[in-house]
Amino acid sequence: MGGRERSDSPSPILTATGIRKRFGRKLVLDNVNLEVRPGEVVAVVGENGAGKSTLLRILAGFLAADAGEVDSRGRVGYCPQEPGLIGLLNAREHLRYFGAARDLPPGDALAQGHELLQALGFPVGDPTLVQNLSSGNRQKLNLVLALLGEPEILLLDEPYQGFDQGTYVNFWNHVETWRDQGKAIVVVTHLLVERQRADRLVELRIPCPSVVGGEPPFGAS
Amino acid sequence: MSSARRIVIIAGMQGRDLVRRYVAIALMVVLPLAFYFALLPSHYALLVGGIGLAWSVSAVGLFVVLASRETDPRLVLAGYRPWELLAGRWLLLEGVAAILIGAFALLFLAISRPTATGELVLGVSLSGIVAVPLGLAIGSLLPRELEGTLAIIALVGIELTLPTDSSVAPFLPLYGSQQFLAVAAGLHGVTPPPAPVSVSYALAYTAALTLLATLLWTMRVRVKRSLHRPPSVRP
Ligand SMILES: Nc1ncnc2c1ncn2[C@@H]1O[C@H](COP(=O)(O)OP(=O)(O)OP(=O)(O)O)[C@@H](O)[C@H]1O
Ligand SMILES: [Mg+2]
Repeated sequence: MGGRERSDSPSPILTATGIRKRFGRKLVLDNVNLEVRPGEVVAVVGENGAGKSTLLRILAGFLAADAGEVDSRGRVGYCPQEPGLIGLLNAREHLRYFGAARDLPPGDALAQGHELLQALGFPVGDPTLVQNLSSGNRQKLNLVLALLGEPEILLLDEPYQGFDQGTYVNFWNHVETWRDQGKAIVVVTHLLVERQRADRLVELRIPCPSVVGGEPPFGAS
Repeated sequence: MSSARRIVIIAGMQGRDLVRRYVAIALMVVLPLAFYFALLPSHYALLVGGIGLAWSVSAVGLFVVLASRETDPRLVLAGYRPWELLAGRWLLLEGVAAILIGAFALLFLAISRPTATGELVLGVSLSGIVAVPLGLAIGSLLPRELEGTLAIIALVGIELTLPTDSSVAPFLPLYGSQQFLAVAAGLHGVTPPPAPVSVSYALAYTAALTLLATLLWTMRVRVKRSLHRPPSVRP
């Protein structure tokens, strides 16, 4: 792993080393390595069932790995593939609930959340309960809750699912803005074109014999 | 932001969720009352109604815990401490329990007019108090509403069918409450234990269940850190 560090880039803010995970007899992740620095986008790719979501859950601390180490040196914003929201609360209530966790007073949480929602084209102010939102809009809220409070590390598991064309393009522009702000971003993606936007690629395979990590940068230096 | 303020926000948000499940909540509350009215004018109605309150409160507790099951790990990752999330739910449930204790006690006093007024109020109160951590513990242990509801039905059902002087009764969490309710209902064949003993039983079960709920809860929602070294460290 060592010796790859570029002199001009900061040290990794999130490092995963030798991650292994099994579910029963099924080996899902075996010796997976990943590192991401501030101002970098790492794309996690692989076919359905390759273990992308499992890896992100381990990075976020939702799941313990069977072996390996995760070292994170910043606050983590995690956008899960299945939105873990409370169906009977609306968007505004979610912002207050999650904002307080980040130590944001209700006013600040709403201001920051509404700005982020607005940027993604969410109907801000809509009092519809989350269980009755359209799935694209639910996903926008899911993403915004991960961004609330400006965490340094973003773990995004196919965060654009259900986004319309405009929002989708918009999303990748936002990713670039966040990267330029110095955030460390790990994003699961399926689409070939979007891989070009990443600085680094982690490819997972079934049954996952080993993993490509620390690839030469794809896009930006 | 202080923990107290965060706990109040948690209680408030879970409270909104709870109020919006009004059909389920109404059914939970009506069920023990239905048993009570069905058994009238027998004084046995008091015992069933009072123990039934524990059913209502713990079932509400189950709903409160399970409503945000998917969201809790996210909330912890976002910065809440696991105990704050539990304390928010506990606060909400104590409020619900206080309202139901007051309502049930007044209703029973007005309709059944028991002579042992103090015993009735104590019995109903202890039933609600023990039920709060009972609901939290079952909600932290069992993953879904169906399993949790069945567990509560089983537990409360056993307490209802056991004779109050059965040798098994002291091993069940509502024992203390049951003793007072039996006196209020005039059901005691043998002498009941002295009041302080029954109160102590109820408080001890409350403490033990609170501890259990806290442990189960913390295990469930804590951030799982992967820090162990791989067994074979590759160079
Ligand atoms: N809790 C679990 N219990 C058992 N098996 C699981 C569990 N979670 C995931 N798996 C298995 O682990 C494998 C990887 O799942 P994962 O969700 O990480 O895939 P993925 O790469 O995210 O797929 P997709 O592209 O469909 O989102 C799958 O075979 C899945 O069935
Ligand atoms: Mg996935």
